[in-house]
Amino acid sequence: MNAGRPSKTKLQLRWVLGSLVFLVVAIGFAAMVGAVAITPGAILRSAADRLPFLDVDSGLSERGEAILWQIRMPRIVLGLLVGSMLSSAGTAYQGVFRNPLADPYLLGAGAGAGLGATLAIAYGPNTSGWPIDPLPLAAFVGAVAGVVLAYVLGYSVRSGRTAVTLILAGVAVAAFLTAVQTFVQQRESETLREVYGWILGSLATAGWSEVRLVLPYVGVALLVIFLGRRLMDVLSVGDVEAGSLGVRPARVRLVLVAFATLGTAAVVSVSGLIGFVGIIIPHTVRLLVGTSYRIIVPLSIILGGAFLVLADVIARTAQSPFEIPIGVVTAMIGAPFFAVILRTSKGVVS
Amino acid sequence: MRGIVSFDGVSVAYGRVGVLHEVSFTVGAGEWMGVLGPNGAGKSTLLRTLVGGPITKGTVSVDGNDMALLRGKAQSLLIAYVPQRPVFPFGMAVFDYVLLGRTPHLGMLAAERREDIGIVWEALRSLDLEGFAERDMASLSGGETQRVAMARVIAQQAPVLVLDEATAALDVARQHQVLELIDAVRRDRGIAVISAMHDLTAAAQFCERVALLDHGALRGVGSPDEVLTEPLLRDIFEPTVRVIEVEGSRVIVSMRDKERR
Repeated sequence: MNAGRPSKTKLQLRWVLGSLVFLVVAIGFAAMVGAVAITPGAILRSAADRLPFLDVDSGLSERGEAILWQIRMPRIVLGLLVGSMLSSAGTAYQGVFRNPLADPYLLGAGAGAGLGATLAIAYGPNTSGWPIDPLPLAAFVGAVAGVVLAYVLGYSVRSGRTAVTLILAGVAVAAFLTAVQTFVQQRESETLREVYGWILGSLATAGWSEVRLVLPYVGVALLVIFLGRRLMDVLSVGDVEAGSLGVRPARVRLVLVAFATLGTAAVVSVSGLIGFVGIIIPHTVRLLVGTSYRIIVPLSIILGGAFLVLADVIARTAQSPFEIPIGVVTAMIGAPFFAVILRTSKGVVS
Repeated sequence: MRGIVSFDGVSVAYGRVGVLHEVSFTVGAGEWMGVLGPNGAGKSTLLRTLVGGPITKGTVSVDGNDMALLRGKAQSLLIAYVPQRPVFPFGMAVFDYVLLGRTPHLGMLAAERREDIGIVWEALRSLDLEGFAERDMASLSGGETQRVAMARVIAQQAPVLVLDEATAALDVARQHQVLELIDAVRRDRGIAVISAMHDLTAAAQFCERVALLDHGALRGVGSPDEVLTEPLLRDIFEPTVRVIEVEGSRVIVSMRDKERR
């Protein structure tokens, strides 16, 4: 229809398709490797067998089938959900606060979840016989409470509901909650190891029940962030001009932060505080395709998921049979990778 | 000329401090109205009544709509606004920036439609910016950025453009270029322009009419020739103000005492 425009649209389409292919490859790779190697052909046949009206012999033993579908697949899907959520929540936070250093834990979600988990580990009753584990619930409640506290504090500042007041309120809340958490940890020092392990994050306990638990939250949060991507572009011209374009910045911030937080709290409750994903993926995407959130958001969702699935492969295989905390992997792989992107890109970073 | 904007007995007070007192005048469709006056005269306060700012008494209406009752999108469909220093997001492509002008036409969570893309292209084309569509905002020269900002205004398709001292930070020649650009867009599209200005000489050349404010009160409204007179300007600004006629237009300067030069 228009000269010039198609090239950019096509380019963006190519990026989306390319990252989808990368995602599929990452999923396939993660399904293959482990203590028991499974061939790509067996995975494809086994997957086809699970489709309705198809009956294919995968050639896998019963044990192989169980490893693939009861151990690896739930872990892959959970990694996908966690990675997409953290990465897109980071994108949303960076967008609404116009701050490149914002991440999903900025307003106290991380510190709140940490405190909640620590309290559950230190003072929670012995729950081995319980049908549900209170730890994820405590982490979820802590994460949401932290952000609500930051919002209440930020809005109580008379000078106005600006992004900066909110960020400062978040810093104060996070510092306080972390201090309380450290205090509890010091008093109950036998919990140190467990708390520390939780904070570094892991997908080791992943099963289909965890996937079912977080899926509704992550689904809704991803949808809202995806639909709000154009509004984040509008916010990038500042509150005054965004207001003159008919957008109410404080309301957009509230909606996007609320859903990003909800999704983040859900994934943190099952995976711990996996760091770095919310910063590195959005920025890598920015460096590759520019700064319009209309393209950053979908790519962050896809690549965030793929990145975490691959990071988890390293976490569970590098020192097998021991697991490396996935938060350590995301930082150790992510930081140098990000540095390379930073050096080779055209230097477009906001 | 049909009035598109009318200020009717508009007063604004912050607490007990009155900033604007009973200001009344109308702006015609497609007309350029300059809002002039010394610092603190209430120019910005008056303009802000058009973009959601407070109104204590009186009414401001645009195209028959009471602005006190309009919020958000409905307001942005009537008024495009360019501040003194527009924010140009670093790294954003020109096309994406101009697309922001379509925001009031779209639902909160909706994506842009084919129609919006077409309007953005038309806006870019009309200002010879087609080749810039994929360029990074940060790579543009000052003059190019001003054109991109105007392309966003065009894409917004509002009948009124409010400029809050949009050229105050520019040098003499650049200011002139930007004012010419605004005038061309105004004539092309029939957009009424309401601009707060400090440069009285430029106002005399570009504005069809001017409203002169002092201490929140309207001291004169009419053509530059009628309003920008030496006695009135000396009364409002300083007795040092001189009005000189050059090629049929008024040049307003403040002359230093001869002995002290």
